[in-house]
Amino acid sequence: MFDPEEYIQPLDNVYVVCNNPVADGGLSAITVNTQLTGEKLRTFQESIRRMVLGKLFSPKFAEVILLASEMSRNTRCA
Amino acid sequence: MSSTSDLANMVGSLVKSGAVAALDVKPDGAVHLDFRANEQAANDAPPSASQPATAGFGVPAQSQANGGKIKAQMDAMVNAGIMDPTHRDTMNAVLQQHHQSQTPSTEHLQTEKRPVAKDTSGQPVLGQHTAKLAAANIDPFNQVGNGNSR
Repeated sequence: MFDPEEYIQPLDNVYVVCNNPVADGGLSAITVNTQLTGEKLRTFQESIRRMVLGKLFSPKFAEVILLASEMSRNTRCA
Repeated sequence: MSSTSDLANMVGSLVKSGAVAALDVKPDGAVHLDFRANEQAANDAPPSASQPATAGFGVPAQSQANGGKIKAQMDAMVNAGIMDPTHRDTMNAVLQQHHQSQTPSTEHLQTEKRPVAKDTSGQPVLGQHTAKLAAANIDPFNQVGNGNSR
């Protein structure tokens, strides 16, 4: 069972490293800001989804990135 | 100077200039660049939500700076406004150097030639089969036959 949390490594209070679960010849990791909110967060997430549609990111990598981008929101709601 | 040390020198100057906070080369050859603001700047940094959406990128060991999927990914992220164009330029420069350090040199292959044995008169020594064909006035490179060995 794929667990996207396993591919997220905290760096500091703001950023985490999202490792690519798929060896697809593209980027192997991206450092993502977990504190984005509002319009910035929506823009970021829409960009990631568009890159999946354009076959630039695998759906699994995108799932890891999208989860990371919402980490602070999930923490606040918990 | 080896290309690996060229990469190290490039990384050192990038870190010194502040363009890169850190560069990590993994044992398998994968490279991760960290563009986060350093501690000094962090004290005056804007609120975290205003900081860039992305601040670091990793590339696998076997990758090329120009062309390919990584370039397409970085271009798309820059166009979408979620990657700083200067980070992309720095990534390309480091990846190009990293790729050169990963690619083995082929210079020795171009100069190495198998020595040809020669007899006392300086003529090349033929192998046994070739010598038999030559003795029978058969051109070994223009044989016509049914595929069976002679």
